[in-house]
Amino acid sequence: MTKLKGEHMSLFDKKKSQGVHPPGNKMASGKAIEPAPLPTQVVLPLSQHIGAPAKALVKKNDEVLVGQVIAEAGGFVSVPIHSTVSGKVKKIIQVISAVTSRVGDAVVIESDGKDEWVECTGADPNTLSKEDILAKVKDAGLVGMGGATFPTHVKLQPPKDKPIDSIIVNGCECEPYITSDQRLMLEHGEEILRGLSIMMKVIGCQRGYIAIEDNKPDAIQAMQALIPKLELPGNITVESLKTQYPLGAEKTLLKRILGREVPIGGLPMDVGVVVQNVSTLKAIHDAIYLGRPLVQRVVTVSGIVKEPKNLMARFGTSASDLIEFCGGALPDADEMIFGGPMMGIAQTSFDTPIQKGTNSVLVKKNTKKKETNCIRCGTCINACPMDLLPLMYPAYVKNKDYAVLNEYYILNCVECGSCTYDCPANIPLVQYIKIGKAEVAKLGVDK
Amino acid sequence: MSPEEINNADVADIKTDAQNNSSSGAINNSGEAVKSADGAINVPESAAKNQEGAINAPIEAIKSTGEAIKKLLKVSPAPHVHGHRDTNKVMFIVMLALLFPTAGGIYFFGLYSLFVVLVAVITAVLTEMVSKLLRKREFIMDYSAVITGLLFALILPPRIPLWAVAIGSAFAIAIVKEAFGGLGHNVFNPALAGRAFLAVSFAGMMTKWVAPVSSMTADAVSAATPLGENFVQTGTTQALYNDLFMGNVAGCIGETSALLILIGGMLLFIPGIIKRVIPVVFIGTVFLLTWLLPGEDPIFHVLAGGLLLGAFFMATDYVTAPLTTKGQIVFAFGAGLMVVLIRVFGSMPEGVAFSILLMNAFTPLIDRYTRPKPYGFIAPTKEEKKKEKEEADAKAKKEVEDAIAADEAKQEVA
Repeated sequence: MTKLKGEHMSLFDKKKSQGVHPPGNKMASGKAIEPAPLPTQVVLPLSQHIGAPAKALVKKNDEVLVGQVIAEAGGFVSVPIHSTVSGKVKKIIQVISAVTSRVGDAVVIESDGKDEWVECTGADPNTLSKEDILAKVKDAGLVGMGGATFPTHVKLQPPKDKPIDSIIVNGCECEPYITSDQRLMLEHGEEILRGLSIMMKVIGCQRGYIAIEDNKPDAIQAMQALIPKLELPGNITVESLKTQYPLGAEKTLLKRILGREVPIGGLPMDVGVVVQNVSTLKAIHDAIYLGRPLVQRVVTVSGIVKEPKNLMARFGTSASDLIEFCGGALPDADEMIFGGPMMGIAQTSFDTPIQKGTNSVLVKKNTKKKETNCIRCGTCINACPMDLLPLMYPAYVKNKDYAVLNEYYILNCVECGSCTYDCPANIPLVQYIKIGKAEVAKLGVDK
Repeated sequence: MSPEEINNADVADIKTDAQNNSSSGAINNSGEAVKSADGAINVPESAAKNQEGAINAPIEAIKSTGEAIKKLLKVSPAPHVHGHRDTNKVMFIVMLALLFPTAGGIYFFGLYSLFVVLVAVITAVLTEMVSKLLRKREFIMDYSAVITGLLFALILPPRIPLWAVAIGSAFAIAIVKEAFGGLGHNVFNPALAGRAFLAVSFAGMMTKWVAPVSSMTADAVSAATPLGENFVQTGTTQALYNDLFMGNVAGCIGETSALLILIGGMLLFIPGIIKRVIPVVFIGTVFLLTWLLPGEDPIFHVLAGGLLLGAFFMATDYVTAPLTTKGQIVFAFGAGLMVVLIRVFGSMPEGVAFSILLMNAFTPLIDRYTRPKPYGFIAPTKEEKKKEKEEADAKAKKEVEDAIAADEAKQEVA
């Protein structure tokens, strides 16, 4: 047995697992990306990213084109929103963001079916300055498309005192069901690598790792074959990693590849690393080479639908449209999740529009079981990739004893859900932790 | 809540709770959110219909893609999938594993042992039912009471009166387990504590031992346990080892046969229910210490008495053992040390039960000092530690001074 990078062995028991192994269920992995039918109406929330919501620039009955800015960035940590169809603004309504769960404005645009684009002019990144590239990235509305939706232009400008030596391209896709990144690597590998190249230029680092789990050998092969062909500057390698959830979490990923640990409460940039999702890199490529703003993404529609597919869908398309395009949901479906089954967010309606961070629409049957007493079996401790004691949190949260939570490093939790997945007592540990984290953050503010 | 009661805000709350971001909705309703974990919340159709476009696009806009799409969705917190692990399954396998030593006990000590086992198990389950009723909690048949009953019976002398079995079993469940909050909250191993209770209450009957019987119905002949002072070794050492290994010696119902306990232990190892560390360190410590002590036979000490049963089935009890591997090593070493001290230097012939109970009491302390260092933990430097200590001292000092000042102010007013 080869020892994996960054894993430690203990004397008596098998190595601490640092995660769990949910069944992959990558049902759509063999399906090429197809364009989803143009929606007749899109609902575009103005807060599809972490940070300040965008400010609406359009009003009722305005005519818009595809790619036209309908809302400008609301601050430095914010990005503009573009129309994803051509047509007329129908109204501005209030919605709960499917990704950030905040209530905010959303622009409803009725499509005229013509799909007319604004003029997009691409450029060669070699002729552009760093500032130009950053401006273009921001204007294109790029955010981290792995699900965290952090504005990309902010990530591309690490503070001066934190030199970056490596960029890790996250193609792990450790969540079950989702295959959007895998298909993107197979079909748009060149764009991803060119996007990486742009990123390495902007950040000024020479080392790029492309991290892919070994349950996607086709993607590993495709990327490995592409690298010598493109003759990109810098040193870019493909890292084939043993499949394990949550390897795609940036902190576990960079520990596995580089053996570094991000300090508690820190970011990957604190140890000289930037982690970027493959979809984001493709978007960077499109924004620079084609001048195209971010209006669509690959969404895996999977679970109990007739025919799981990978769709190139415009933002604002209602999930029910996509499900319908996949032949509809099977009769016992009673739950729809945006994202993967481990960290995704359950939606209240099939009509929820997909957004920048929506990598998957998962239709499934709810299988929640009743919570029973903790028997202190320690399974959660073994499953936790952050070496925490998840079982300690529920009691303190229930008793509102929030100050103690800090002693158990609750803020270090990445909310991956491994502990809850393996808990024999069906305790929703992550849920308790999320409540506890919010309360601890409040305590911090009070002080 | 009925559909009528739900208005926009409620739907928003439900959604925020379920999605548990750090916005205020989730926190104000933290109690709700915790509750919601039991089962998914249904969002009533009427509520969604009433508010045109307020939450999501109106429900009329749903395309007619069949029944499923019109159905209401359930919202529950992530993760939305669950592994195969289940408390009931774990308990069931432990119960199966325990049946090996139980069967051995009935074989070696006659049919009466079966009655002891039955009385212990039935009393345990009934006591649990009654306790749950008194505590107004739901009774769940999760085999944990069965395991307590079984374990308790296995560490009793073969000819103990059945009424004593019932008293001990009821004590184990009602006082040691349920009074502390039920499954997962007990400080001591209930079966061991039940035995300790009987040992101090009815010392006489707890030290009456019989020789293994040749047939199921034969009369019992009193005999000394191998660890007892009156025990006389008749054959060769090799023959004694054989008897100890097979279980052909006097002792508690389930502790005599090393072979059957090992088979049961393997049943727990293979699916990963217990970790190796506690039995290995516990037995290893006893072996090593008795090997170092002059005049003691380490193999005899490992095979005789309740060490194997205790090491595999009692010390490994999740609830009363430390959480981390480091803590478990400390725990098992402490228990091993206590066993040797009691057996070799103490007044009692056997000490497995008391040594495990003693270490149970230390478990919270061990847990406190063996917390794992989390990912990204950077140990504070000496200077930082010193500073932290100074700050804490200053704070404590200030608190005391404040309290004194407040006290004085009070007295002045008075």
